[in-house]
Amino acid sequence: MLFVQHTPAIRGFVIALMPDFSRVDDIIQETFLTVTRKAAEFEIGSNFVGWACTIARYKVLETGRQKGRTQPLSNEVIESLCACEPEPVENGEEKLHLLAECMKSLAPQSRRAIELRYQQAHKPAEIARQIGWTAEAVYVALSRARTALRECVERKLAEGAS
Amino acid sequence: MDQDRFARLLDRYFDESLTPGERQEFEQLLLGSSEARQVFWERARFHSLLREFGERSWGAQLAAQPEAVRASFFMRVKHWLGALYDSHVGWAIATILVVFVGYHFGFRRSPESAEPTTSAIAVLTQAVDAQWADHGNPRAIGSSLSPGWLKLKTGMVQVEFISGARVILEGPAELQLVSPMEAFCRAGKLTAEVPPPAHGFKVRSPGATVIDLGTAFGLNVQKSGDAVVQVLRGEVEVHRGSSQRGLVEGQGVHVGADGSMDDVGDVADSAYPSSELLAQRAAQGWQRKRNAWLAATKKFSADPALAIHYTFEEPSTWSRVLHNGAKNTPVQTDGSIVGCRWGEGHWPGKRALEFHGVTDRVRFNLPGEYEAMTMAAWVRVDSLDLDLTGLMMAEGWGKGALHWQFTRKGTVRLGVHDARDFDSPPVITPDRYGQWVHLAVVCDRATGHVSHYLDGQPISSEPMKLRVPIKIGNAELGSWSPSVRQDQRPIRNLAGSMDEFFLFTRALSDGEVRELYQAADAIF
Repeated sequence: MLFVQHTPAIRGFVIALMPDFSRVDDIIQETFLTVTRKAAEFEIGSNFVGWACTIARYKVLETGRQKGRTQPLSNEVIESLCACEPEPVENGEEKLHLLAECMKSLAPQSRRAIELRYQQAHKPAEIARQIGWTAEAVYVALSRARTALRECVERKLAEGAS
Repeated sequence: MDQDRFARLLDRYFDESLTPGERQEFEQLLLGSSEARQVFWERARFHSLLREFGERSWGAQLAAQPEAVRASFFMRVKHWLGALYDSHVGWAIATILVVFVGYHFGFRRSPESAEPTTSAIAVLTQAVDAQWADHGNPRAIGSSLSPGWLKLKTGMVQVEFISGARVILEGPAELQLVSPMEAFCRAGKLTAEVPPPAHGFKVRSPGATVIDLGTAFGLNVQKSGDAVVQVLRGEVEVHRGSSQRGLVEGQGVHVGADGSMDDVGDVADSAYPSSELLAQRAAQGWQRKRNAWLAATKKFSADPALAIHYTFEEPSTWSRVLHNGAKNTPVQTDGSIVGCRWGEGHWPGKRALEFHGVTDRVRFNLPGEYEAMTMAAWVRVDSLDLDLTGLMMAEGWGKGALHWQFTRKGTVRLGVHDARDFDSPPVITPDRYGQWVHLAVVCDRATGHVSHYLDGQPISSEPMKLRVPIKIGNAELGSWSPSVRQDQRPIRNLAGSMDEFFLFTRALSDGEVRELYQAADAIF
């Protein structure tokens, strides 16, 4: 369905404010329910993704109020972040394609760490247990791999454009 | 701001590993610096791109794994998709999102010119036994396609690019539509037919780029990334990195994932999906669809509340009468065709009436008073230039009358005399002009509701207070007469076609409306 193609924008927004991947799906589902209920309030001609993100932000704040669950960022910080969110970038598909290529240039252990984090949604402590590293080594590996991948994608994008 | 320190905290945040002290420090930095917030969003975008990549590659890996592992994956996906699609609300969400997203991405007015634009670069013109891996719902024939992936599990489809290039794709296959002149095939078999206006049309595979210099080629991309390119007619260029090869009719190369390029012998054209095979399979598909439709409509025609069913399947195109196929209809309720010409309906071989001129309409009479009413129709709207466009309009505007119509904005409106107008969200936006849609509306005094449906899914439902019963009397499809005796009449005529119309004198459930749609959907 069409909306599936455009979920990434809203999804990316939620993932930024909620690093716990296991809670992201619930927030998005609830966002969709609210979007439906409030469909009449939506002004044609205004920005749909922006509107949906406003709703998603409330859902993030709401889950933070639920019992026994902590919110990764305080309300105040979320408000200030949402005041300046830059326009979502395009070329998502192209970047995913480039990312697949860049992934090949990672050292096997770094790639494994990235897979466990982003594919299996494990937290660093679990990743450390699975590959027999210290947690600190996992943090460093993830951080370096992210930087390397980001630079690689940007370089390839620039090459493609020139 | 200490950038290294901030970057470190940001990494910890994304990995859910901030200590309480670090979290406080991180929040202070974010609150205190717009530069920090800027960096936050940049990195967050990449973080979510990684997650999207992870989810997709996991899905691809699972597809190649045994049943048990796959089951757990689907359980997880079902977790939210299930809730979405199983409930009525879910269908509504899906549809409303399609509508909104369609409106805002497919068709958007730019502020300077106020001219509508579209991102569509291709159209799906055939689909036989198609099952999609990336699509909650099947794609109907005639759907316009924007840049993005087509992931076909099984079946055969034909995609026509606006440049004139035509690709026949056979599942399992993954094809990314990039631009009117470019596609990327990650896996699967395809044939590309490239006429002169589209010369230079490119298909990339993971290992190579094929540029068509005229007519047709076949491409078969394996999961490993190996690809075979075969020129069926004319000539092509195959690029791999900086090396390039020209091939002419009958020649083919195997492009290895390792970078090798070897000649392959002449392969039979039948190794690639052809127009002939597609046409043959499509014809079988339509025949099956037609039989299934006839069987399904038998079930509806036995419904005692079915007052009118126009199938538009008259034995001759000379016919000026639409026969009412409903079994239990009280009196003569055949429709009289005025002006309309016969054309093709929403699948090949299906008859339809075309409405163009201001006098084109189908007139009928439905006597009686009713507590509830459901109407459903397959309609192709070619444009909505008028303030109001009639779909099913009771003559005049008397007590209990119904006016089922479109507004210029593309909303579907049910006007209920003694109550008010009930509008759906905009659904017939310019990017939908020329496409067949299934519309339905339920008006029920007992529950006090008016609900609109698009392609079998509810798109809006609003409370209604109606003190009098519903009355239709003389009525028209595709136009409106305030009174046939009046000299000057407002113009509300439909520009488009219709190929099925149902009128029930009871409220159908969401499930029944969905059945009406599925009985005749353009999915083979």
